[in-house]
Amino acid sequence: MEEKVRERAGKEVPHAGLPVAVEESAASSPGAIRTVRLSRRAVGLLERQDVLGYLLMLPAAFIIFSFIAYPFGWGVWMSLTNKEVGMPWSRVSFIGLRNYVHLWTTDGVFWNAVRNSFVYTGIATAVKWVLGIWLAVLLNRMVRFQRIVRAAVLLPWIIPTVLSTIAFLWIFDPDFSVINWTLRWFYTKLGWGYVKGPLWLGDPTLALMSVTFVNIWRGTPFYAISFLAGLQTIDPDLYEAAAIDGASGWQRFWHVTLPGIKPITVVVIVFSIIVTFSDFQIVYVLTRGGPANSTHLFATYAYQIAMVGTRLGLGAAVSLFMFPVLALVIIYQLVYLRRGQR
Amino acid sequence: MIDIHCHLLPEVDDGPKSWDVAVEMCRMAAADGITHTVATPHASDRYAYDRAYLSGLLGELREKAGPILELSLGCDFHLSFENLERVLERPHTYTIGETNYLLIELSNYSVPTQLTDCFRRLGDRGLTPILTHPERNPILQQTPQRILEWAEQGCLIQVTASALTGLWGERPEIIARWLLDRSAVHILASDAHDTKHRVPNLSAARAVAEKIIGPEYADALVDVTDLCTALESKYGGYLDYCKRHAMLGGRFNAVPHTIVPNVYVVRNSYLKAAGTQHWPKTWEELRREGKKWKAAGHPIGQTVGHTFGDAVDFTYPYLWSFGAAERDEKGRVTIGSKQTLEALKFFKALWDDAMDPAGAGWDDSNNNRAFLSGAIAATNNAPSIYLTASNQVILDDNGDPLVNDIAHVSNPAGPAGVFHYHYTQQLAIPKYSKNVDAAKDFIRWLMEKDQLAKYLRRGQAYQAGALKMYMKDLMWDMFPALKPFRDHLLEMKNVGWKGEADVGAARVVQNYVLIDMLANVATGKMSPEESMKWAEGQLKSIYAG
Repeated sequence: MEEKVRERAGKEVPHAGLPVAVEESAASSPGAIRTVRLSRRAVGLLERQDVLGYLLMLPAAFIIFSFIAYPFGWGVWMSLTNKEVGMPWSRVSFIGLRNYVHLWTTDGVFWNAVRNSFVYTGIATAVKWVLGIWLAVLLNRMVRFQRIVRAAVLLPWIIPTVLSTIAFLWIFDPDFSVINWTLRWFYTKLGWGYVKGPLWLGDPTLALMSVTFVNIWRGTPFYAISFLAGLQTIDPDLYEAAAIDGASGWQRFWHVTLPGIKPITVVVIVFSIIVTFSDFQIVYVLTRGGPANSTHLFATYAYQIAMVGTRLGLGAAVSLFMFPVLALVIIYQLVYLRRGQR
Repeated sequence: MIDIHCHLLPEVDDGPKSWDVAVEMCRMAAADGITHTVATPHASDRYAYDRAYLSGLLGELREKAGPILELSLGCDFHLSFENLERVLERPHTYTIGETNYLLIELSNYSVPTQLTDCFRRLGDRGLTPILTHPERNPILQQTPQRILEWAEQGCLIQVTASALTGLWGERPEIIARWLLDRSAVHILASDAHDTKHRVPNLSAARAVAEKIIGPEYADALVDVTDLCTALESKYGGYLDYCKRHAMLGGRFNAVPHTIVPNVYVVRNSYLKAAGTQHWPKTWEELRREGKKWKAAGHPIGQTVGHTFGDAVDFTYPYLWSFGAAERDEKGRVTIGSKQTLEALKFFKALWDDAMDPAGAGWDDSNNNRAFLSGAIAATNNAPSIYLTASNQVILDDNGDPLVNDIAHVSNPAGPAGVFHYHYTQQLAIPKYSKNVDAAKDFIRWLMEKDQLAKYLRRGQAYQAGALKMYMKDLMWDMFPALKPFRDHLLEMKNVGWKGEADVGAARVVQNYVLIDMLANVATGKMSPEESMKWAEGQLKSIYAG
């Protein structure tokens, strides 16, 4: 049933500007319009901004509660129990912080995942940031083919991650890698003999770097396009003024461009840290956390324990270890944005 | 919890020596979570049993102990000829409370051959016999099969709780676990006598029993024991490990369906070119010969990455062949052993000398591609390489069909023998299914020989049947090159060996623990000693949780 609220020039009722609900009742006779008079009190309430505001917020609040707050609370609760897949609730018991203590003290892989997550996020964020700004400045200056180049730059970010990562699985293949084939070709051309080439996913350190590289490849466009938007908000007069004052190109970048895109930088980096820190797809497709657990991140390890290993409680605890880190990042962002508003 | 076997009354048998001890026992029982205890004094040649007098004592104990524990009277009935006549005459003198259940204790020195008949006579009188602590009977310890027969005839089996927790030593514990595994334990009871040694405690044993019989997914999957046993009796038995992977605690949680077998797949021409006369019989020999192959640019290919197929197929039999086992028969972690260390040290040498270092990052498909493209000389695999080469008519460098150059050979032997790992596949029905009966009917139909034999042949022998009889199937003559897969079907243990293929064993696979133990060493991340210690910690934590 469709409901329409129509504002009418309220002549009949002295309480002016009455919103009257007009209801189309499809049940009785289609098309017939029935006027429903709201009681004086209801109208009074709806006219108050604070009440109406909350009312309009309700749908959003409902979505946030049912798809974010509720699952989150559920996850927290689960991490405090011994819940396993297929275990009836009658056997599930509250075990306090035992899952967390277990991970912290005795789990042999957890700290690998912690270390990897920080290395992965740290390197990826830093490189994406530098590349992003560089690309944005270039794109900003570009005059010809602007649209098509911008669209092309966005491609890695638009292609479904799993799809592009499968391509990388091939690129990193030790026998059929396009990189290693090229290397081999050069080696034979130069008469240096046969070379196998690097084991992109077989060597523990290199494997972590490889998955980080894919993340950078995928994430840079987001930075570049966001920064590009930021660049276009900078007043050209500022550059002109700087140039008149004799500022070099580098000085202009440092003192005009960077401060100009600072607000957007904070937002982009914070978002990027959040999704990079909790990344799953790239690692899962390329290595599943191997070799020898050297590429496990929080999310892949949580998945291995909870979904594959059936220990839902313990797995929830792994993923909740991300929470304090991400909370700090978010708090920083909120504080920063508030300050900007003042 | 209810304890139906407890020597609780003071000064009537070898139970508590005073009222104080008896009352203390009641308190201990209550503190353990026991709500109801049956006081069961002995009735034997040594101890007379006077129901009326004992009832009086029980009333007295009830007053002294207070309302913390509900109490009933029963009897630990020693089975002898005279005793049997007595109970047949007046059964309710000895039963538990007013019920028809009677505890029966056998002599440690002789178990009458006509015991089955005794049980039948008790049954005729309307009594249900409960056989107490058979796991502690030295004669039955030698012939535990008899306990199963009685259980099948309707005799209930009561195992001493403390036998499961090891109080009575090795033998009773193994028998108790053996019975639990076969669903032949109906009751756990304390058989407590005092507050120090044989105490009224059930919770510890219950936890142990839960671990043994509380199988993964058992709560979520339909019990298909009837279906499986019917198939077994119609077609003969399953391969042992197929059964072990599908059942736990004497119950089939899934129907053993098929196996994807694994052996070594080799390129004959590469071996010959390197001067290798025959496929190596031992790992040591493989290392020596493999060194030559690797020098010629065709190493042995093997993944030790995070994959559930080939990495498992290599790791488990490799460790078994060195005599390394995750656990012993009682479920204690035994990976920290001389054998494991030897296996790891040798693996490092094998890896460096003869294997393709790329394997650390391989998934289940890499070795297939590497083999078909000529990058490796040998790899442990299912029939998929052969079937791809044959079905897609892949050619080698000389333009000849590659399939002619492929041989299937056994895993090399370690100090403890030859082992393989074959991927077992089962069919299970989730409990939430709305069509359990239809699903069962479908599986029953599917598992009939008419269907399954056809299925396996159409699959070009990629899979073998879980029932032993398929080893003799005509299919193997249709695909003679794949016969080695059949020939090595029996050389396998279950995951978790020497323990059961239980939830812990599954988690060890799912967390890649043993695979990573090898990968740690292969990639140089850890020394063999460190890696073994790491794996031991992982196993202990997984099996404890």
